[in-house]
Amino acid sequence: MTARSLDWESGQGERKWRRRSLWALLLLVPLALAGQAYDSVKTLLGGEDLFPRQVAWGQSAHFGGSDWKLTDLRGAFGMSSLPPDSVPVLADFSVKVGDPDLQKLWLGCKVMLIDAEGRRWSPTSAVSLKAPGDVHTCVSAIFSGARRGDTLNLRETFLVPRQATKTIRPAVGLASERPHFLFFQLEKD
Amino acid sequence: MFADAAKPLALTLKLWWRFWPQLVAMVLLGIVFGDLFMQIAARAAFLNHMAGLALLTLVALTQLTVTVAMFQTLLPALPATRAAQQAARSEASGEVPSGGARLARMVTVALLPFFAYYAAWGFLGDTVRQYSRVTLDMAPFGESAGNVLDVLDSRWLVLSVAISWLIRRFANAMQKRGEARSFWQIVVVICETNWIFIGLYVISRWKDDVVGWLMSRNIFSVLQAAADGMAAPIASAFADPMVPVEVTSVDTTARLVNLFFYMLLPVIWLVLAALIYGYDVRDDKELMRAHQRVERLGARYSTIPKFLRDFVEHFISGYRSRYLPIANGVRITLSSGVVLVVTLIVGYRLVDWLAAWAWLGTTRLIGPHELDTWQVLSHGVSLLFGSPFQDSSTGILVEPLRICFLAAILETAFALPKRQTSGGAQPTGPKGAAEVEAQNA
Repeated sequence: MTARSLDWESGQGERKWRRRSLWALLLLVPLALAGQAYDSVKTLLGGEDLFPRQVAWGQSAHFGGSDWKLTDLRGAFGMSSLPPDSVPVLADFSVKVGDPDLQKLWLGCKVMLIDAEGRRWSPTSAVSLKAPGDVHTCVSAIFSGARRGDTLNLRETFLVPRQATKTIRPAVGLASERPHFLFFQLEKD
Repeated sequence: MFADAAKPLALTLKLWWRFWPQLVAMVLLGIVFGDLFMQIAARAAFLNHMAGLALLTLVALTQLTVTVAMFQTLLPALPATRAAQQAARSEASGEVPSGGARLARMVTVALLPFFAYYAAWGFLGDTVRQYSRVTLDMAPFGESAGNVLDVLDSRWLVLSVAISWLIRRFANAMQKRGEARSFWQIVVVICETNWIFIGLYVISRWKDDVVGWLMSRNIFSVLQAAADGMAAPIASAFADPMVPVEVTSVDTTARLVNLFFYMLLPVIWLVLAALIYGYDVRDDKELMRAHQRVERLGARYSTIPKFLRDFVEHFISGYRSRYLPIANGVRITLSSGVVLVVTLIVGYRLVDWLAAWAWLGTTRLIGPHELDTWQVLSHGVSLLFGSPFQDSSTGILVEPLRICFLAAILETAFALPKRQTSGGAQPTGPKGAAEVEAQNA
């Protein structure tokens, strides 16, 4: 076998391996990325409220083992000693407990308001409004000892800019249901 | 002079352009299998701590195999290196094994220096750290497995090394019988990797205890300062403890020592590349000629009674054939000319520097996000450029470039006119080197 034919054959072999490697990249890049990022993606999906599940006004939705229903969303206008152009907003929910293991199912409970631009507001403790004795917040309800069939009244207080009040909608996220969260429609919707 | 420096750079780009799909695919395979073996080792650690540690050697072995395979891929484009191997081939005797046996032999040749490099630069500690992190993730409070690294302090490690020694002996015997040689060669390699890996890591841990004990005796207090000075350079090369910045001060000596180690890493990598391409000597005459004193030492050694020499040879002959290439590797590097050595050091560090800036630039380009989102994105960026913050992480764009650069430097060194004209400096390959040529053909 001459040197030239050996060279030609090795060139053929190289081209073949180049082509095979290019095809292999299509498989290997996603595989390596998936292997490396698996834990982080799991953390991201388990810790973020990414995909809304729409709930029409007056309807209840099964979420975290219980049935959630938005009963009221209103602004408390006219309060003094607040930053200018900010409005306290109260969101009321009525939740019928299905699975009473709230300490597990409701862990990481997060009620929030989301406006049309996608901005999110968490509950505040800067404003305290009087509430009836049987009203809980989402976190305090976890330790309320509620049983199957009980109905819990939840209220969260927010402080949002006045111009955002036109488009805000309440939403609820639970660790057991993430990355999905409930996104409630209002009566006017 | 400028042309001398530019030549390897141009060749680097040429090599990269010709082989990038193969090289990137290999880096990716290394990443995938490295992750896989790490997971297997961590899971095995829950059953038996020693088994986990033993399997951990596969992670380091994967990295070495990928490196060797990448260098071998570039060989068809390195005519001067091939010519050197061809010359060696005409001298080489013995049969030409193929496929797995060839790769296994090349891995064996590079094994010890690779691990020495691996340990000296703290990568061994990195691998063990990654391993303990993975096991900690699986059992957050160490509830089911306890501390998986406690075996490192146990005397049972001796048993582990003894077992791998027995397996190696058995594999050697089987190999001599001629049954499935390449398979047994691979078994031998894995056993050797196992005890080098465990041995080096344990030595580095027990060393601290021994030094601590010695220092607790007052008679050695004079030696303490000297020992600190000797221990500091290696410790500070990587895994440095956290020290408040206002307490630190960098004197000229420390700076020079740091500079030395900064420059040494590229040289060590070049030596590894030379090893992989089979720059070896089958006898040590060439090295003995290097220095009169060494020559005298050699002469004195040959006057030792034969039975004593046989006794010593029994222990060192296997390893001598592997350490000699290192000595020769250093020699070819240093005899390649100042311009080439400077190009090597600056170029190698330039690749690192550019990779770090590319990492930073990309993160700026992506912009701010929430932490959880960023954790996911950072894996993508690190896959491309390697992470400056992660232990021994390799990027699919950077690692091939680095390997191409090292191969280009070596090729330029072999192609230097003075090397081609001087007969004494002809590289000779181990049996494995000659086989590469045959394989390429």
